[in-house]
Amino acid sequence: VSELTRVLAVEDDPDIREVLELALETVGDLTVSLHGDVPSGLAALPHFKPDLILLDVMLPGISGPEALPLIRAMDDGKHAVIVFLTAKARSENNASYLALGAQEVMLKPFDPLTLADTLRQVFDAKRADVGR
Amino acid sequence: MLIMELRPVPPQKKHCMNDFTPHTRLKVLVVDDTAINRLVMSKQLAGLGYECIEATDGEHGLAQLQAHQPDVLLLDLMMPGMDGYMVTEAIRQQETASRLPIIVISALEDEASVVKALEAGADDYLPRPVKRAVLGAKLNNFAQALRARKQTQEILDRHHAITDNIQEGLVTIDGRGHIEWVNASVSRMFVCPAEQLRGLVAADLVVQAAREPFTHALTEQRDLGEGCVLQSHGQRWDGTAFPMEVSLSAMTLNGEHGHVAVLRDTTEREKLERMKQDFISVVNHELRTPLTSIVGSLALLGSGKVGELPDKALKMVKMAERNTQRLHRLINDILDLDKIEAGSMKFFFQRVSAAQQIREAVTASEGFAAAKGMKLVVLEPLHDGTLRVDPDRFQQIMANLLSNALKFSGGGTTIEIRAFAHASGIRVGVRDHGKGIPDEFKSRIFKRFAQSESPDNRTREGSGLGLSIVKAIVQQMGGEIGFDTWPDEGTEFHFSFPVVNDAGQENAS
Repeated sequence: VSELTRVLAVEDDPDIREVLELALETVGDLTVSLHGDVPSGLAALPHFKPDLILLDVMLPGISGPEALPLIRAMDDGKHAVIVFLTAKARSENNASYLALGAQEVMLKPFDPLTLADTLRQVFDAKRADVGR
Repeated sequence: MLIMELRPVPPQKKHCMNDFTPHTRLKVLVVDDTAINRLVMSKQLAGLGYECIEATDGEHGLAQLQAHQPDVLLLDLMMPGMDGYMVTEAIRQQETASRLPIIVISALEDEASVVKALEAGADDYLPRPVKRAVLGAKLNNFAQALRARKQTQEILDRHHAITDNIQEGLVTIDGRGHIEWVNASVSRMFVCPAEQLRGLVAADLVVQAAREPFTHALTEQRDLGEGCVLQSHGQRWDGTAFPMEVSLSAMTLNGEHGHVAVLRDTTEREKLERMKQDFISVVNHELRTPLTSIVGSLALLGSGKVGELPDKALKMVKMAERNTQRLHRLINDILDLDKIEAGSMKFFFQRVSAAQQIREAVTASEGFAAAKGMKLVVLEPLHDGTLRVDPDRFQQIMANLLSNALKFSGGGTTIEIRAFAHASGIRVGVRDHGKGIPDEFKSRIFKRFAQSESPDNRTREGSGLGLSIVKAIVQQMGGEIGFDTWPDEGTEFHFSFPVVNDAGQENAS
């Protein structure tokens, strides 16, 4: 049984945030903290203590890839599994995101019925990489 | 996607075509101070079928020359005031009439005056009294020479009309790589008079960094004789650079080997290409974002996880879901096509098991098959081996072929998937039991937007892009693709990739 319980997600589109909330909380039975931009996500990090962070790539202000080193610099972000969620098609930039220290890159649109299961699989497979 | 490039045409000097035809009646100007001589001559000329214009002395002759532009001049030598020699010399100094054929007529059987006239620039002479037959024969000779000259002139005019008005720069290059000739467009392109370009080393037309490849292309062409196209950068006379396409062809002129280069300034084309790339990238992101919440909310609605829907509503939601997936595929196809066109499709090659990849793809399409009341059957044993491919792209090939097979065969039938050793490596086949591909459609099947147009196919979904993308992907990963089809019995699409050994080298099994 996967130990993934807490997911912090940063996504600027409010409709997609709502779909994420239903997909992760209602369908996936996870505890979720949702944010519309990076500063608000970073501010929630210390008390929410996520197991996994789901990060949109194109965000206003600080982008997902720019946020990654900031997360890793925080005590509560060091050991989180980080998954990018991108609307940029196919695998062209995936390698560069992984090189930055993310554990997985997922594409939009996603299937809300399987999203939580997929994240659990990613978490179980990659948790060792971040020292969990 | 094809974008036409429209550029305003700069105003240019127009060359007019010469309207001369060989059958035009020749005009002969007769300059003679004696009225009776003029009368005799004009009658003879009329009888021979020539048009006759008369002048009463040297000055009048020059004026008539200006006014009528005759084809031949019959000139009396002995005239008061301006005599025949002076008229001849005056004509030879003119720009327009310097090549006018002049036949002098002298009453004297006087060699000295004939020689003097010929030295002054006359072409021929006739002794007086002029014999009609001799006049006719001489004029006929001149008429023929004149026709040949006018034809040559016409060819030259046509050549200038084309080369000076064409948008592309034309350069002829000699066997040593020097510029022989350039058209007007090259002067405009490089902001430099044509005279200054002639004799330069042709490679100096491109920027420093591009000279070596340019020279190399010339040498290779001289040896192999094949045409080639270079994407290069031109360097203007003031040192500034611009993107330029160069088409080089070998040519032989007067027995000498050389080249003709066609130059195109591609500044506008590149700007448009960049705009197109930016546009596609924005469209991609902007389409996917709303699609994400639509796909997501429909899936949640359809699953009943956010409340049960009445049957009719559920049916509508499923319909919306299907069509959203179609839209999603279309967006992916358009992006792929753009990448293929731009040559920028990236592949992340990995060593994979062919059989494992095939089984994965079949599993992924089973849901779609079941929804159509059809079955995917893997014919065992699947031949296995290691392939060096991008697994995502391999899955894309399989998904496309499987969904095509499912779309083009009747419900209740099966789709068979097999893999076997082949001269080209491992060949994978996807066989349906549909109607087969009509003869007239066979040659277009891998073309873009190709869809069979028989009426029962009208309702089938798809953009007609799938197979053109599949073909491009297979080829760019080093494979081959084809099909076998049997009327009313179905079609098998097959593709193959070479097997790699443990050292990672390719060998056909």
